[in-house]
Amino acid sequence: MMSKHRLFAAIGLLVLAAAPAAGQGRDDGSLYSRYVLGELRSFPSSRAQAMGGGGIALWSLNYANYANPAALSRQFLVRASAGMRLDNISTVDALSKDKDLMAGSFSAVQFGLPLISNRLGLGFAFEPYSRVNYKVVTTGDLDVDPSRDATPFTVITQGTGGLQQLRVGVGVNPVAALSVGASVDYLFGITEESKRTTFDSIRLRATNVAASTRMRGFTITGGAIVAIPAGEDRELSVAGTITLPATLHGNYARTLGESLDLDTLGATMTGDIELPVSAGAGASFTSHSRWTFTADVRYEPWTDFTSTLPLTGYAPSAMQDRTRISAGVEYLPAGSSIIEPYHQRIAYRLGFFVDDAYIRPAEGQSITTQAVTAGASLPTLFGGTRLDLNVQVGQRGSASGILVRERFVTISATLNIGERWFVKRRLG
Amino acid sequence: MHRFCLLFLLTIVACNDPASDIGSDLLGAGLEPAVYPVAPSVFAAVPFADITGQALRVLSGSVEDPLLGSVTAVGHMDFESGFAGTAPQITGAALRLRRSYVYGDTTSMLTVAVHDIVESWEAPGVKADSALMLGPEVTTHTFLSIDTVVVIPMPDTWVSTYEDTLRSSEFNTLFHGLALAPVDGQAVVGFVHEGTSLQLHSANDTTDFPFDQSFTALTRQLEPVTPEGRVATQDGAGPGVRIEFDLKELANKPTNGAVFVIHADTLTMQEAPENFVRPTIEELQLVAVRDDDQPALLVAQTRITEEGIFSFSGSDMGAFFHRVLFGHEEFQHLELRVPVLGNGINGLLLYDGTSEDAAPELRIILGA
Repeated sequence: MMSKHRLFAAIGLLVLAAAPAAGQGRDDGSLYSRYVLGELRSFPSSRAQAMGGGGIALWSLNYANYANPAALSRQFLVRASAGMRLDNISTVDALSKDKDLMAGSFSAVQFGLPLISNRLGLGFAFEPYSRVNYKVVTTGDLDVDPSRDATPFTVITQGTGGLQQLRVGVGVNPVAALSVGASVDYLFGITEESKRTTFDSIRLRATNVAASTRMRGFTITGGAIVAIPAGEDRELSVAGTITLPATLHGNYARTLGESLDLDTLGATMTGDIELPVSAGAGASFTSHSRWTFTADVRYEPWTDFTSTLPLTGYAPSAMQDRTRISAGVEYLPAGSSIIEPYHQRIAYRLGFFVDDAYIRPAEGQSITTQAVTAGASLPTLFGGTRLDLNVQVGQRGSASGILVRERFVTISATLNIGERWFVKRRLG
Repeated sequence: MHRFCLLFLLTIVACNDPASDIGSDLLGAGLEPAVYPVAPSVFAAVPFADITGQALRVLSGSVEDPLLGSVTAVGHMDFESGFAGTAPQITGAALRLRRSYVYGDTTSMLTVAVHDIVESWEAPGVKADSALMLGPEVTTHTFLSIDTVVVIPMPDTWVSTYEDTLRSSEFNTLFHGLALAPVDGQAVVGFVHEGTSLQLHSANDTTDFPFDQSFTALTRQLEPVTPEGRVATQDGAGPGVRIEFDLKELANKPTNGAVFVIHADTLTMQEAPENFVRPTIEELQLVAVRDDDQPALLVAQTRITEEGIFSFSGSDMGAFFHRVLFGHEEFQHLELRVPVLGNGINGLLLYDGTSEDAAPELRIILGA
């Protein structure tokens, strides 16, 4: 068994490795991440991610599921997982101009702790809530001086940052069929949009104007799962979650830098950002630990979103309610057996999701993301520890009007470590 | 597995494709820098006296310009002793002047009077509206305004009066110089230091006392008669041009640079009487005038283009207006000035804000 020190060392290594990847401002992601809080992210577990990204009613001995805190009740091993992802995005606009971008980021760091095996469990997670990552380069000529030719300029508009969430949850199984749970979610982070203007002339200075918003606030997520036996080694689970509306307190500032003394442009503003409620429902069906099916729907009324701070691209008329539908299937040939050949102990997963974004940059045109997900969960020499390799292939938006169509391929790797702690060994 | 993780991490860190302008429509307006034009709230002639102390030229003469008014120039020159060792007996003296500048009637005969300067003075920083105490007229001399070299013989009585001073080792302290005041003529001429001297003759030799310091006092008798829509400015005697901008609307805006464009009326400047030379100002400084006890701050300097445009720009200018917009620069107003070194009374007509096509304009370049 891997020692606890090695377990912590492995998690630490992954966190340290993931941090610089997450902070790579040079990389570019979705142009739609410019709006409001950025592109929403969620990472319930690497298993759920490969099955469409829902997983509200998904149980597993090998994963702690953070889509629903009630799922934390059914934990047998102490679990830690960390992962990262690589996004390749091909963007095309209405004029058929295209570009390929690539960005790396971390998925999540999660830790699950069973206090009473399969009855009471805790969970801790640090994962992105949203991500802002885009870059647009504009070039042109500016007629500055009548006694000289027009001066070429370059403007790099770039967005970085996003919200992170730190979650502490507990799940309990008070009666056989019902599990309930709750988590406290602390949201925090900075979004920033900068515009760097340079000229092909020493007579004009470069400027870099950055607008940044620092936000923080709490919310609570509650959830319940009802597990219904459906025959021999079969189980049907129905679940629901609700994340309460949250108020984020924020500071907004514009600063000017680049070859000039750093100046604050105007007064720093403080204000509140009201996040809407988020409700989800899902169902899963497991048969002989070989087949697992899951389907989920999530609804968030982002038309209730308000902000007293001038978030980038925010306008009440540009907000729309978000609906996310997902479904997936897992096939594990070996089932719960650990003595089958290696390839039969690999779990194969397939899923899809459709996600209507919470913003609408062009009137009357929703930004819908459709993707197919797949993954393989590779067992390791250490029992309870798996390396999950997932892929998402999809597209977002449409190449019409001012909009762009983004086709993306996301590859992710997550190491899920499981060990038995706090359990006395017994003879016989 | 460890190798796979390492490869994955390296892949993430290494990937970085160049961005493009795709999506600029999606991001909306404000992705390009813009030129924000500002018309001066004040662009007017104001009295001004240039610094003429220790300029490269000393002026003398009087001219009445039908366009730019009349100006009188009194040149003041001081010399340093040219004797090394024992000074010989002086038999005669002359003021030798090398002309390099003329403004006015080139056919005019100029008559100037030579005076002793009877007080000690220091030239650096002295302005054109200053005056030095002069003694009675020593002599007068008449010459053509375009003569290259002018030699004014000093009377014997002056030589005998000053012989001891001229031969003294304390000459530099005891002697305060000579002034050239115009008596008659229609031109102002300028003499350069090099080639100008006080020549002292002895029985066997001639000794030059070279130029030590100079100063020109300028007095305006008649104001310029400027056409409508123009502002006149003249080196030395003024007027200068005072400029103010209302930049409140641009406070705290990011600034990439600034360009101030003014147009000169070169055609009217060329309309002069026959044989009348009216040199045009070809180089201007834009300065910020601060409190009285502080020197003006040079913001930008530029030369006139073939199209008659003065265009002030440059990184220093951009930095100045950046400081202004952020409230980091305190000054009273801006002024147009002629560089001090090239002393003259060159003139210039500038279009003011009433001109449709040639009004002065400050262009603030605002970043995206």
